[in-house]
Amino acid sequence: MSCNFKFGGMKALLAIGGLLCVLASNATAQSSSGQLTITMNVQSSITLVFQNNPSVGTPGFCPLTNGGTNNVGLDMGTAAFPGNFHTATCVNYTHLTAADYQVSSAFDVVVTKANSSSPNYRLAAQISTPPPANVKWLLNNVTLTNTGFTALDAADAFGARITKTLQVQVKNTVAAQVLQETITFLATAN
Amino acid sequence: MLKKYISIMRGAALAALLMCGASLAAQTTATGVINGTLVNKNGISIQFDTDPAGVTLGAAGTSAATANFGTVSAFGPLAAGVTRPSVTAANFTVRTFFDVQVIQGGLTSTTYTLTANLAAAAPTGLNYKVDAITLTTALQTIQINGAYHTDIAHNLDLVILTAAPGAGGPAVNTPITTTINFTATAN
Amino acid sequence: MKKVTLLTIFAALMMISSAAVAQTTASGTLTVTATVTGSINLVFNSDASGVALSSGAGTNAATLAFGNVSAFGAISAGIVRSTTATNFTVSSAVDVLVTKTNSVSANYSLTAQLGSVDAVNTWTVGGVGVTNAAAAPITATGTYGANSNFPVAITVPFTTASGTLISNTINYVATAN
Repeated sequence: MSCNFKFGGMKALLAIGGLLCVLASNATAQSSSGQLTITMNVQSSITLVFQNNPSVGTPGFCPLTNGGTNNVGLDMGTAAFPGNFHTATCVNYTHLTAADYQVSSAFDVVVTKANSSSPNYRLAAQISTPPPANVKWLLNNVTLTNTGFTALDAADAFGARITKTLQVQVKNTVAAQVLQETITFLATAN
Repeated sequence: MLKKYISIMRGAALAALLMCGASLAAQTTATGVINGTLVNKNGISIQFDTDPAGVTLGAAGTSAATANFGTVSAFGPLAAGVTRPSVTAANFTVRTFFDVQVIQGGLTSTTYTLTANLAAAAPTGLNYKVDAITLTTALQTIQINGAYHTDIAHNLDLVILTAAPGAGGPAVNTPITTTINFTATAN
Repeated sequence: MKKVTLLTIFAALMMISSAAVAQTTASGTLTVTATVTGSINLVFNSDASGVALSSGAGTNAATLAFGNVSAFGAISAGIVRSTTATNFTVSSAVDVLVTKTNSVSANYSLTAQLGSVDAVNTWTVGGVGVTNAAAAPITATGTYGANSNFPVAITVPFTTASGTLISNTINYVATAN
């Protein structure tokens, strides 16, 4: 009886061992591997954004809408020749002559470079449509046209605020109307 | 055959180099746009300027100026820029000159009409005239074809009764102030 | 004569009967044994929102070619880009599909490791930084049989020269839990 018991114990041990072996073999890490190859080619690039000037809100520095991007709005309000009339307190209003007035506001242009050895950049601008007769759009006293980019700067520093003043000059004969231009700035790495 | 192959390979390598060079030389640019807006409004404005022959206006060059005749009397001395064109038994007149400049923008109008009135009834014993037109609290037409953008001289007369205070004459030894409203209307 | 004929037929029938009773048969059994083991398989698939794998989609050896990348300006479809003051990151969705067979495993663990050192750029898989120093755990509960997007992202500093080719391999290992 004792012998039988022992034999039975051995069988049980063997069975458990076998089960463990099976389990172990089943539990052997099932794995699979793969290899993903990644390639890319880095290119230099630059970006241009418009920022509010630190003096924003004071005369001559109107706030940009959507500032910090490359597509902003600059509302200079309503103005008229007689009586130095202008509604925006953030613009500079002046009578240039006995028959012309100018409304102006300044903002900053920031051009940033990446992966580029370019030392600086040149800046140009262009208006979108021909302005009405006797109306001029200028940047820092440089008259803009819609026929091509007008050079503004030859070697501006990357990452630096470049303050530009947008000026609208209107003769007193210009009829009441909304004067609107989309001014495109072009920065080109030197 | 081998030579042809080598030639093709050389050509391909050269093309690759050229393309590489072109890529490196490609201009790096960035653009941004500003949408600028200004509403040009038409309008007309008036300003008073000191006339060389008149008293020096306070706040000259604005639309709210002052003209001070100083101390006036039928016979005594007058301030610079003040004259006394007439003295009668009933009254005396003191006169000064002032300029009006009307500015317009965005209009097709070439001239304007100038009107004036007293802001309140004239003080006792005084009458006010602009270019010989006696002013009242009702609008009086002073000029019908004023030219824009230039100073146009007008004379301002104070006709002062010689009667004593309380007998129809003006108060004495006290400043008498009157406001005259001017309106320029584009023709 | 008739008797003779009948006897003859009878004898023949007897002989036939004895022949039919003689059993000359053989039989056999074949015992067949097979051990089924669980297994899993990993493949890469293009994710609809990412850059299409340029080769090897559906296999475990694929290529993800970002093409030309830059911090600013135009970027190819499928690439997500973010830019800071000093570097930019490009990222693409990549699907990993792990399938199981004959396994009771509920899910899988995934690790990833760069094939070679990159001291300049930073690599992530599924938002987890990966290097070539050690396998990085990407997930511990991957779902079998479903494409799982583990975006591959590389952060490139602005100081990297234009025209630099960045290339590396990422070794993925999926292990049944």
